[in-house]
Amino acid sequence: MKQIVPALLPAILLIVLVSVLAPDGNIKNDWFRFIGGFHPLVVHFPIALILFIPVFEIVGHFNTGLNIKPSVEIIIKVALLASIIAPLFGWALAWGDGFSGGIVTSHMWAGVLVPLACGILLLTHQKNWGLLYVIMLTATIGLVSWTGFLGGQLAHGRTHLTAHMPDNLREILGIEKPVSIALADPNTFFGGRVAPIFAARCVTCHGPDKIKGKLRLDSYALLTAGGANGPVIAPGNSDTSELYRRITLPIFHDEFMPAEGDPALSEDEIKLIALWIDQGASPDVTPDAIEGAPVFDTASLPVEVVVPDYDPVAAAADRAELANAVVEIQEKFPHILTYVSRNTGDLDLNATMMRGNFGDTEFALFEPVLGRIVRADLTATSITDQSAPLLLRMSNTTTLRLNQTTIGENLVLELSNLSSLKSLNLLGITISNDTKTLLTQVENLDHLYME
Amino acid sequence: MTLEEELKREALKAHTRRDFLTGCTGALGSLFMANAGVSSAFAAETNPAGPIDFPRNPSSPLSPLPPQFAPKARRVIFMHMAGAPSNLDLFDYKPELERLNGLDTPASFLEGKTFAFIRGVPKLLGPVYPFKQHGESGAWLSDRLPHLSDHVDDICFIKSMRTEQFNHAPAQLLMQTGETRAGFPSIGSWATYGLGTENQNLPGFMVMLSGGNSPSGGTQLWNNGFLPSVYQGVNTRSEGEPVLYLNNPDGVTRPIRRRMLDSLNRLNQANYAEYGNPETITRIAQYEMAYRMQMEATDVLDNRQESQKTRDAYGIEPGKGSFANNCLRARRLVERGVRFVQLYHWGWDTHGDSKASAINEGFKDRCREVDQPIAALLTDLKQRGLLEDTLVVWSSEFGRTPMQENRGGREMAFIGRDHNPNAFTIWMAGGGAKGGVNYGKTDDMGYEIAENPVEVRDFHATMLHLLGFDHHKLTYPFQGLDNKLTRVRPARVIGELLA
Repeated sequence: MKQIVPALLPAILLIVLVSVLAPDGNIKNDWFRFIGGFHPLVVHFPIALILFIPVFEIVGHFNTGLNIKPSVEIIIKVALLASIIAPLFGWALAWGDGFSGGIVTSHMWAGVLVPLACGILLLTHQKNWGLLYVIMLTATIGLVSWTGFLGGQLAHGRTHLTAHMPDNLREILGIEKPVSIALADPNTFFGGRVAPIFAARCVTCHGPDKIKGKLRLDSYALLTAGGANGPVIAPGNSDTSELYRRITLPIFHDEFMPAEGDPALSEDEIKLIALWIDQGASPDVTPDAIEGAPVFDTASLPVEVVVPDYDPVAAAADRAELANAVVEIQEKFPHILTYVSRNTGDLDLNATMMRGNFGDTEFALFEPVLGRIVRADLTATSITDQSAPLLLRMSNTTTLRLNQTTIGENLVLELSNLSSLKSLNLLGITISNDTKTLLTQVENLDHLYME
Repeated sequence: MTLEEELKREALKAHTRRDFLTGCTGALGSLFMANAGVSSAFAAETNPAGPIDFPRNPSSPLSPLPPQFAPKARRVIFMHMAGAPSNLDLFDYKPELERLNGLDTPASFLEGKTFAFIRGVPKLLGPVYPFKQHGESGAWLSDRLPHLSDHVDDICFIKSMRTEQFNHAPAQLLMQTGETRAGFPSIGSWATYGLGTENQNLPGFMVMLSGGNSPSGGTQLWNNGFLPSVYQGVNTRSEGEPVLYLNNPDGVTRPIRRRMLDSLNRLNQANYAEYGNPETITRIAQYEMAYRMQMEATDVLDNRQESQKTRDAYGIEPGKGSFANNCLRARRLVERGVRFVQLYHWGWDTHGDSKASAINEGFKDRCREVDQPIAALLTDLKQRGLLEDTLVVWSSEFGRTPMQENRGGREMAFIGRDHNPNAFTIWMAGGGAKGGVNYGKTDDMGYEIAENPVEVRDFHATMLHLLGFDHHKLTYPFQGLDNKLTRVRPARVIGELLA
């Protein structure tokens, strides 16, 4: 009796406490919430101590020289003490911070049973009941692990251990991939657009497993039922809706949601919720019934940029046919004829660098490569209508700059119909209004520059 | 010592112990590798995924080379507002901050933060100027940029830039060179190294300063770093002769200059024949370019050749060096085929410690100095068909705090904001950047990034992408590393910004 009372009494008192003052989902005095905040910190002491017991037993069994077995009793005693303190903090957290829900209850009961198990473990150790002691030790460790697992689910969500399990391991263990619970009909505005926001951002704390402030957001009925302070939405009026007020407070405000340092809902998400409330917060309206609702499924996703890899072999093959002709021209006119890129045989003609020194005679020498020139800048060169037959053969040219040349408007009109042309620059060329009208009607052109 | 003896001595000095040792081992090694057939493994032809080489004739180090893939931007005008303008009073509208104007800053904003000048608990400072939405894209701009607001649909705003430095010089270096320390090539150097330049009579990378002071990063901001010196930015003066020592001295005619250069070139050629140092050839090329520049540079930088109407559009006051002047020059330069033009405008460090640096005073002047010229530049480029393939960048080194600066913990006479490296706004236009985009978000206070953060290296990777390069491929071997502008941490091309 002298041993039984101190071993079991505190545990029993703890059980009485949590039965009488069971957490009811209402937020209480700040002192409870403050003390409760230490629960995740304190809780690791009993866990570590209890796990020390088998380590000492096993090591002591095989290595008698160390003589560590006598320490086991004191470890069990300290573990017992720690396992009484930790649930006290936990109770303060759940009681003070307004927790309720399935996992909260399971976690709490598992937690308050730990000191009881520790007390019995201590007795079986003191009485030297070998087999019973081993069984009790196994049971205590199992109970502690289970409690810890439930605690993890509360803090990090129900699937915190299995969410990122590799698929092949999942198959072996027969664990199904977690699927998001269908909250409501996805073919309604609420089910398809609003509920997914709640599911992603709110339900960890306002769902079946953990219910803070008596509010659950995992179904329409529960949402409209409201929380500890009454309804959270006022259909038709987002401004007087508590839920809307909470998510739009300044991020450092005490009552801001999501709490605990989680980032705010995005502007689009907030707008979407506001629109839905303003339009009556109906569970049935169709997804496209609310005008101006922001769309954010694909638009905000990052756009990955893929570029063709540098491939000199392919480029050389593409250039082979005209390679000699290009080299010849480049020697005659340095720096003005270049390949568009390392990966192609397409050419870029930049004759404007020669200004007036580039005319019809010079252009004629480019005859062999005309078909591969995709960009031709002839700005301020002395090229004239004499080059018309050559210019009209530039069927792959997408950009043609003829500004400040003396090309006539008839040729310009013909050139505007070059099959690949996208951009044509005619600034400084005198063009009649009739021709201008015709030019603006050319469909291919994305850019047309005229005086 | 006679001249001949001295020459012999100099020649001997050129062969150092280090040269000898390098020759020994290097030559032996290459003999082995040639023998073992290793050398062919280094040739690009057999190694498609390898680095890109930039082969050039040493006598024309700036000759144009094609980029890796077809580029969207062929040239760049990069405007840097030195001193860091307030993003919160120009582009990043924060109604929530406006509501909380004048309240004490919450402790959570100050914990663990270091500020240049803010001490104790400062007051929150809402937008100082009214904001309005503009264009079809609905971009928010304050009333300080009335001209620019007509162009928002051509502009791609990045409102979620952040940097690692909260002091001007290192932050400017990071923005311009990708490193916070001196000694690394700036973007313009990389661009001219990779692409050369179209006009062989002008430098490929030109820099112009305005605002009365040089940026605090100094000449390192347009330095070539470890790239050959020919790729460094050429700084032109905004008043007086644009390029110093370009004009012939009195009594020296152009033919005399030609003869002088020819003699100099013969000497340099002899030196090259003896030592084979390619930098000698580069030097000859530089002299030749300077000679050609005598004709072209003076001409291209002369804004008086533009019509009065154009000069008025930019807001140029005759005979005064200004940002407006430089904007018009920038257009004239890119039009003539200069690859990279860098404009710095000084005076944006609006701490509020004096009238000139107050957001309610000097800041207004700075805005007036740049707003009309930038808008005119965009109009001009667009009208001439140059915006299609000219990338215009407006940037700075960091942003400013949503708190009013309280230097030494005391309230100050003028309104100012301290440095904020955690969030700032920059923008791009033309050259393949997507117009009408407002990318990224800061939090309700404009204090930190809330959505889509963009690091400086991400922005650099995006710029190089527009110029036709995968940022991994534009490299230069130095100190055992294939160096690149984006340095060593992973960088992302922001696909959302590309047209």
